[in-house]
Amino acid sequence: MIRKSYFKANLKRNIRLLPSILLPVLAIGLIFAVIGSAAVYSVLNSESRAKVKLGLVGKTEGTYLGFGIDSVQKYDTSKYELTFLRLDEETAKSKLKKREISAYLVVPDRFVSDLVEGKNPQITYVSNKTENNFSSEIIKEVAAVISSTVSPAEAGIYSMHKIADDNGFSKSEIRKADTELSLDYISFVLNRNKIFAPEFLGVSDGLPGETYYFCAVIFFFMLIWGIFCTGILKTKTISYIGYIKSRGIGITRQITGEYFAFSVVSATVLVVISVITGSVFEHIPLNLPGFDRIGVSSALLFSFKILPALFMITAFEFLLYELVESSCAVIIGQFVCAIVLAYMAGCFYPINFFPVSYQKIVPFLPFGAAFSYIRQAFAKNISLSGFVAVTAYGLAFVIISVFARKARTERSGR
Amino acid sequence: MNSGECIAVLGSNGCGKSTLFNILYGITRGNSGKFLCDGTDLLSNSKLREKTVAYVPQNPLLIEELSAKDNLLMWYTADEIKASLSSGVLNILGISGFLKTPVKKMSGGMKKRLSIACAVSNKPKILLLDEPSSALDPMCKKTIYEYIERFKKFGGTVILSTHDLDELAFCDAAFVIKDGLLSSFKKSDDIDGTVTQL
Repeated sequence: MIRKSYFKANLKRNIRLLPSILLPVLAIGLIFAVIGSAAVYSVLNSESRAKVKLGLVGKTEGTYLGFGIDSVQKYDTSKYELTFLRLDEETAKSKLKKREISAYLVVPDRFVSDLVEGKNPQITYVSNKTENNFSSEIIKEVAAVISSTVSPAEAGIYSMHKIADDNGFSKSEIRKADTELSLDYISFVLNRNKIFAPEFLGVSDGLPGETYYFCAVIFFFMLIWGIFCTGILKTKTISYIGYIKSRGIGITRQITGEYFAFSVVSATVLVVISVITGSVFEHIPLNLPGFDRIGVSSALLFSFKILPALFMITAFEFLLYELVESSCAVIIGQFVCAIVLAYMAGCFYPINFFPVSYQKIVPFLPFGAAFSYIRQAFAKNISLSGFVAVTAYGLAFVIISVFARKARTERSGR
Repeated sequence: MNSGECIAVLGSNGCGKSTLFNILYGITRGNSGKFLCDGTDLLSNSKLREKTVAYVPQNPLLIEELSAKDNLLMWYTADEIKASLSSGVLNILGISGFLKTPVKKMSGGMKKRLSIACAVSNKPKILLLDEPSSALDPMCKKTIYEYIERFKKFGGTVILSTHDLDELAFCDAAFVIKDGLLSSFKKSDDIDGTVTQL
C-alpha cells in the first residue's frame, strides 16, 4: 500500500519546507491563542459580559415576586446575562420593536391577590417571534423559572400568611414562620443556578461555554492550517505523477506516501504548538471550567488525544489540493470551506441553537464529528463511535483523493 | 533493433517526439501499436516494462527540495549508492561532486545527470533519452555521451530524440517524424541534410 522510499522522500521534503511554514503558522497560532484566551477571559470575567435586557411590566415592587426577581438579579448566575427593566407596557412594546430590549414579561395587576386566593395567574412572555437565538433561550429560561419557581413559592408565602391570620397565630409566630419561609425561598431561588448553569449556552459534551469556544478556536485553526501548507500540499505535476507511476509507484502508493508524510508533519506542528501554548499558560494561568490547569503536559496529552481529528482534517485538506490544481484557487477555496464548515459544525454558534433536525444530523457530518471529537477529548470523554467516525471520514477522504488523482491522470490520457 | 544499438528520433518541435517516448514508457496511452522486446509487448506488460526500460524525460522530474542523495534514495538503497559512487553509473556520471546539493540549486547539467542516474536504477535493457544534451555545456555533454557509449557497450539499447548533429555520431540509425509519419534512414543516408531542413 505504501512505498517506504517514496514516503521517506516526501517526509524529508516536508521537513525541509517546515521552517518556511512554521513561522506563519506560529504567528497565526499566536493570534488565535490571544483571541481564544481573550474570549475565554472575557467570558470568565462575567461582570463585563454584554447583558440581555428584559422588560418587566406590572406592579412587582414590595411583593415577594419583586423580591424574588431582585434576588435573581443580585445573586443568581443569570445576573451576568440579564438586566431587568421595570417598564409600562407601551414603553416595553416600543423598546421591543426598536430591539432595545430582547423581550418583556407582563405580570398581571391582580397577580398577588390571585395567588392569595389560590388561583394560578399566568405571567405573559412577549418577544419577537423571529428571534431564535442565545438571548431568547436565556429569557425563556428565566420566564420558566419565574413561572415555575418564584410564583409557587410566593403563593406559598401568601397562603401561609392567610392561614396564619385565619387561625389566630400570634404576630411573633407569623414573623418566625415568615422568616423561615423567606430564607427557604431565597435558598430555593439561589439554588436554581444548579439548573441554570449547565443549560447556559446549550453546549454539548459536558463543556461549559468558555471551554466550548476554546475548542472551537482549536478546531478552526486546524481547518485553516492547510492554507499555510500550500508549499507541501500543492499537487505534483501530471508529468511527475505519470512518470513515477510508470516506474512502479502507482497512484494509491503516491497518495498514501504523500498523505502520511503530510500527517506526520502536521502532527509535529500540533505538538510544537501545544508545547508553546502549554508553557505560556503555565506562566499566565487560564483555568478553563471542567479542565485541569493548562500546562505543558496537559496540552501535550490533549494534542495526542485529538490526533485522529487532526488526521481527518489533514485528509480533507489533502483532498482539496488534489481536486483543485491552481494554488491560488485552492487557498481561497480552503478559506471559504473553513468558514462554512466551521459554521456548520457549530464552531461559531453553539450547535444547540440550530434547528433540532440539524442537531440530530450534525454528529454524523464529517466536521461535526471532528469538532465533537475535539470537545470529547477536552471533556476526557472520547466515545468509540466518535473515534470510529473521524477515522472513517479520514480514510474516506484519502480514498477519494486516490480517485481524484486517477481521474486527473485519465483526463490527461495517461 | 539489436542490443548495443542506438537510434535517434528526429523531428521539428511539437512533431510528437516526446509523446512517442511517453507512449513507449507507458505514461501516455497510444491509440494503437506495440513496443516489442524479445517478442513481448512492453506496452501491455507494465511489470516487464518497469524492469526493462528506463526513461529520461527532457525536463528532469526530480524533487526540487531534496538533495541528489535523497532523490537517489527513492530508487536505490544506501548500499547501492555507495557501491555505484565508487565504480558504477553514479561514478561515471560524476554524481559525487554534488551529492548533497539540493536539486533547486543545481545547474541544468547536474539535473540531467542526476535524472539519468535515477532513471537507470533498474539496470534497464532499453534506455529512452529525450533530448539528453539540450542546453548543456560541452563537458556535461561529454559525460553523458560517455555514459551512453558505455551503456551500449554493455549490450543496452538506446533510443534518443535530438536536434544535435553531434549525437548522431554514435547512432546506428535515425528516424524522422514529419506530419505524423515515421520514416527511417540509415547512417549513410543524408541525415545531415535532413536535420538541417528540420
